[in-house]
Amino acid sequence: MTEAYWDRLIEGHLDDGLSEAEQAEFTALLRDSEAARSRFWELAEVHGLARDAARIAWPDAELDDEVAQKAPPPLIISSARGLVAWFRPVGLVAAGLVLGILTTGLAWAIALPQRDSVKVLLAESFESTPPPTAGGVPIVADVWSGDFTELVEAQSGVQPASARRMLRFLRADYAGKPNPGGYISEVYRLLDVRGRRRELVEGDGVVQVSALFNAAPFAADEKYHYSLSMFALNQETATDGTTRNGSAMLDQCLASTRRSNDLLDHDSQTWQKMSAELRLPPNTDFLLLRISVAHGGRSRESQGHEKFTAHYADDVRVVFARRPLLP
Amino acid sequence: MAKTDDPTLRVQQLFVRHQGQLKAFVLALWPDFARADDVLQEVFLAVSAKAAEFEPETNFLAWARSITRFKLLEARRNAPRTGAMSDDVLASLAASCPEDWGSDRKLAALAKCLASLAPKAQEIVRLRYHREHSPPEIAQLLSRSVNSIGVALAKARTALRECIERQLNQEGAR
Repeated sequence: MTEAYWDRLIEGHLDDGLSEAEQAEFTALLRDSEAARSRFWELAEVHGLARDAARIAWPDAELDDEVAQKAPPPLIISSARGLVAWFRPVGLVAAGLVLGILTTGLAWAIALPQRDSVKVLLAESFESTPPPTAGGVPIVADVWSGDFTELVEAQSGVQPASARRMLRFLRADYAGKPNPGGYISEVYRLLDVRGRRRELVEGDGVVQVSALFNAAPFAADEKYHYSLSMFALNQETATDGTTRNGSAMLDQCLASTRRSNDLLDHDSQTWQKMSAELRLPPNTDFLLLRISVAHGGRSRESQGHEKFTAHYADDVRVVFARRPLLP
Repeated sequence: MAKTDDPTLRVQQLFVRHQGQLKAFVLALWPDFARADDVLQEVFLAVSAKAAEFEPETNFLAWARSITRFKLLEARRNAPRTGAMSDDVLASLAASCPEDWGSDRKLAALAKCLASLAPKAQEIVRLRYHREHSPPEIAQLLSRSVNSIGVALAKARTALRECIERQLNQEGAR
């Protein structure tokens, strides 16, 4: 067997193009020849690195059109009342200004493109994702990590919002948590958006995050809240462990948004949706998503408030779009 | 890297530092992008779970590669119709992987080198590594034979390997 043939087998392996007979030859070659193993690593290095290198070399993905989805929620403020309330200026003099803003605002809203491309950064229904790790806030992208949670099928009268599986919150702490216990069970996911830097330069990048929450029937005097947060982080803050310290994360994040403390209802047949939006600073490298359920009211004061019996999340979605700044 | 006494955080920080090398390692041994991502996630979970077993003064990359090898074997057993690579072959192949293989320096050099490819080669490399198409898909997109795409990819990788070497030699000479 010549060295050129070794190369052909190795290149064939890298492109998943070996026949069964060639696969057998390739395996035998690697088992028997140290020189062939060494050659394998020489040839495979470019292949191993090329995907990341391509993302660095060509960061703005024209492939986004492949994942373009539906239009984002319209940015039109639905009523004059809402707009006036939002811009409420002082004094009578401002009345004209309000009208001006109202007129301009509506004209601008109408002038917005009716459809904008929305890129899905995360569409998680927990069907094929690995189980979350109980290791606190993750510092690598694309894994679920946080407090003790698990992925389950339908249970306690709760059906997953879609397909077969959903996330179940179990405890308000994780293995090795410095202060075990607590009353909030939370899980995080870090999303790498460095590939979108060019789209963030103008400050018009917005992410919308949403999740569904549900619980099995619980006692009338118990209360449970659910919350959703998103933090925009630079690379250092996202990966150096800063995010393990809640107050340091708030200090050092570039921007954040939070929807919090909506109460879970007693209807286990329906899922409650929560969503929030965040405009991304141009220097955002990572997004940290947090979803949580918390004991409230009397159950927060009770024994065992670090445990959660049957509380769930499903269909977590993060989408990105570009929207002009408000005038 | 911030110093920490938390063993889990410590190995996760090391994982972040070596993530590029580990990802390249997985892709070399199992050149399926989607499955490689799954394996890498499993490796992250495994190193997190085994954090207490890692001795800080030892070689993290070697430790993580050995965990990766087991995760690869597990994953390949569960994936039908993939080229079989037995445990002993994978073990000796993994053991022969050079320490600085797939380093960040080489990644940075490769990113620069991509621009130096001829337009046709660049298009194929883009389709393969940016859009993550398989060679048969690229052949269909470009109305060419699968064999010719395989040859073009092999030539492009050779050109890129030589370019990386030149880049690193130039850096070394400065």
